[in-house]
Amino acid sequence: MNTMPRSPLFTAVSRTCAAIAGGYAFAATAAALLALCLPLPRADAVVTATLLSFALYAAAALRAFAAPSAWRAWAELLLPALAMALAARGLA
Amino acid sequence: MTGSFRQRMASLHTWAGLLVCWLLLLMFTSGTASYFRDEINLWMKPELHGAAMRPASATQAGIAAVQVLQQRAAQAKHWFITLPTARTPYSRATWSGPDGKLHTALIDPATGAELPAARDTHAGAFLSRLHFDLHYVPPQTGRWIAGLCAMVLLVSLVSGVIIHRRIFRDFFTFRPGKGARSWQDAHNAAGVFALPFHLMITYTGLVTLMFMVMPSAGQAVYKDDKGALLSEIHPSVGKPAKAAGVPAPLAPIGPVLDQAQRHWHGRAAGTIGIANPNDVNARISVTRAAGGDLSNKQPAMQFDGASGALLATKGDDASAAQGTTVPATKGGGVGTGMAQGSAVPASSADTTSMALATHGVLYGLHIARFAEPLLRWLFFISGLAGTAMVATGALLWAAKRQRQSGAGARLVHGLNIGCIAGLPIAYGAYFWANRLLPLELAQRADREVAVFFAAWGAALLLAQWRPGRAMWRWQLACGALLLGGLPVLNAVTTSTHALAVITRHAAPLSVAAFDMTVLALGASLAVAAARLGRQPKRTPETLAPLSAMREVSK
Amino acid sequence: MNVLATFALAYSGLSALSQSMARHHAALVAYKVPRSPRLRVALRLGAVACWLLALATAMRHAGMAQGVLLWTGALSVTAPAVMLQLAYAPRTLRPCTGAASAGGLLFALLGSL
Repeated sequence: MNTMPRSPLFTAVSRTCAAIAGGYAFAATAAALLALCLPLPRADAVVTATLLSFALYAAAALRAFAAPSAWRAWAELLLPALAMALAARGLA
Repeated sequence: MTGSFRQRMASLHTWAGLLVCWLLLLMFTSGTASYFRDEINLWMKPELHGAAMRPASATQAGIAAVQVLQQRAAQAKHWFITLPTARTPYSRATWSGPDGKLHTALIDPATGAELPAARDTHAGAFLSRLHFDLHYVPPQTGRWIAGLCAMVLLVSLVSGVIIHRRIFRDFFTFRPGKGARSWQDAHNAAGVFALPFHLMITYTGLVTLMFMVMPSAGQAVYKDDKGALLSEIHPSVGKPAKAAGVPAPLAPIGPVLDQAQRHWHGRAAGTIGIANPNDVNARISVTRAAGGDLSNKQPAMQFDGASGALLATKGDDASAAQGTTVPATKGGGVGTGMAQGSAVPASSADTTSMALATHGVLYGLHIARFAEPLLRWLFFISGLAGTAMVATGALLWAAKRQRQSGAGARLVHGLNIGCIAGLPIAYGAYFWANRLLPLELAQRADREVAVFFAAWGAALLLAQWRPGRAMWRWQLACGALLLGGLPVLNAVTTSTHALAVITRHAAPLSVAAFDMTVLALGASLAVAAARLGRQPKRTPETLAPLSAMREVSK
Repeated sequence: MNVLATFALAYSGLSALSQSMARHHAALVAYKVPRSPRLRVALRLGAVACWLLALATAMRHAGMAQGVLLWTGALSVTAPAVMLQLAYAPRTLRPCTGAASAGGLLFALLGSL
């Protein structure tokens, strides 16, 4: 890759936004999909999925900073989020 | 942000921490204080101290409360009674008046008399509200901000553990007097020793806000039917009833409470809700008082308000979990002289599922109503450790950049002083205002809160103006005087100061305990101020260049 | 009684653990780091035993759930005590550990009566 290296500030801000917004998208869509898929009565499924969502959010935020680049951070969070949102839409 | 995984996690930890640390100081201090909200309430209302010394049974208290409500609020649509507990030794009756406003009466549980109005103060409720609603913003906004801070804290905790390379080898390490290295050791200690608490309180804090900040699962399953979601997750006991408009005398509350207590194997009621009192369709809902169970969800029973007959129960398997079997649908006590339904329909949510029980326990862990005194003190100390963890983190960042003079560094130094030394000043001022503001002052409760923020604002502004060692000393000393001076102020302004409590039993012991606690906190601040007063030792370590500091954190 | 045992045993366990660590042992005895791995293992096993007994007494006092909370709290509170002792008064650590272990065992015994 012979692109110009981005400034560290840009990367930091990008990753931070990925962690906050992308992480939330990831966790929220995962929670929705989980609630629809869990073989439990609907109140229990919703509660279980929501309880787990914060652990998922933390993992997503950490991944945003662990990913090799800021672009990867966004991709790794938004693409699965999109897929999960579509799956949830399909199941609902 | 190139570099190893650990370096990136360190960046995340630093920047995430800097983003929220000062708000977190507010949340940690107010939350830690909230562990003793009931005791703070009592201390801030000295007019109630005498009555607080005469305990009474739940049934007695309930009868007295209903009597007062019949006198004051016979026409109200809904009554709510909070029965006395060991920590709040008086009853509280609430109703909404014809003008739509909420009215409250405090009742002496033994004499049945309404207590003389205590001074108008939000007392401890201000502190617990501050913890999650913040202030000067709409509650929803405050909770979103609090939720965001909690989420960032969770990420900081996990990243902190990841980057703490020598977490076991450095478990007991503390090297005092070595500048940034000492702050690092202190930060590690405060974080690691109470790590189970920190992780628990952060995650459970998110759980208390979870349906607001993470509604996606609920929306996906229930679509727009919010009512169904609410009633399935927080089922109410029995069915609501509309007022018939036909007056009928309310059944005596004493036998109802006794029946409930028998049903719960001797555990007393905690709250009573009466819908449509003095109507033929009145409904009495009794909820059990908090005890030693971790969950915040308590079983409840619904009675017909006119006849006193049991209509429904909820959450009885919670009693079963205590090791006793309770038939969920039986009507309970005989010989009450009431008409008893032959088959009492259990509410559909009578067996609490694993998921809902877990939710209850996680919620309950955060609120900690179950905590008896020793455990409550341990939680309090852990909360102080959390405050210390955040404070030392901010101080560590500042110490590593001591000789930088950019605007960013100056802002951080100022915020550190204004929050770490300024918040004790704010809390102290709040308690001083409680004792000193004239009792007849209009909107006195809000004025007390204004004093809190005025004091904090002054501290923040002064700190930004001159962020240096002298300002640290002044603000720490000020905080020490305000907090440590409270027992003296108490003795001068009330008759229930610490000595009176201990010798004459003029008030519950918790009033003296408050005095002792703020004295201890004030003394700690005084020690800190004194130590700062001494000239700093110009050891080579404190002047080590930044590169050496980075070496330390590897 | 059980509560006293919990705190005393939590303290002695943590203190024993700290003494099994090379850097702290050096501070305590002011000479060479101990070469004996057997001593280290013995101290660590002793620490674990103290903690298990502390958990048992905590549960005896407050039931299972609150017992775990009490035990965790005891560890969180006694750990800084050990840390500060190591930093400011390392010579007092050994006698305190001895007293705490003996006292803890005694309280645990009395608490079971």
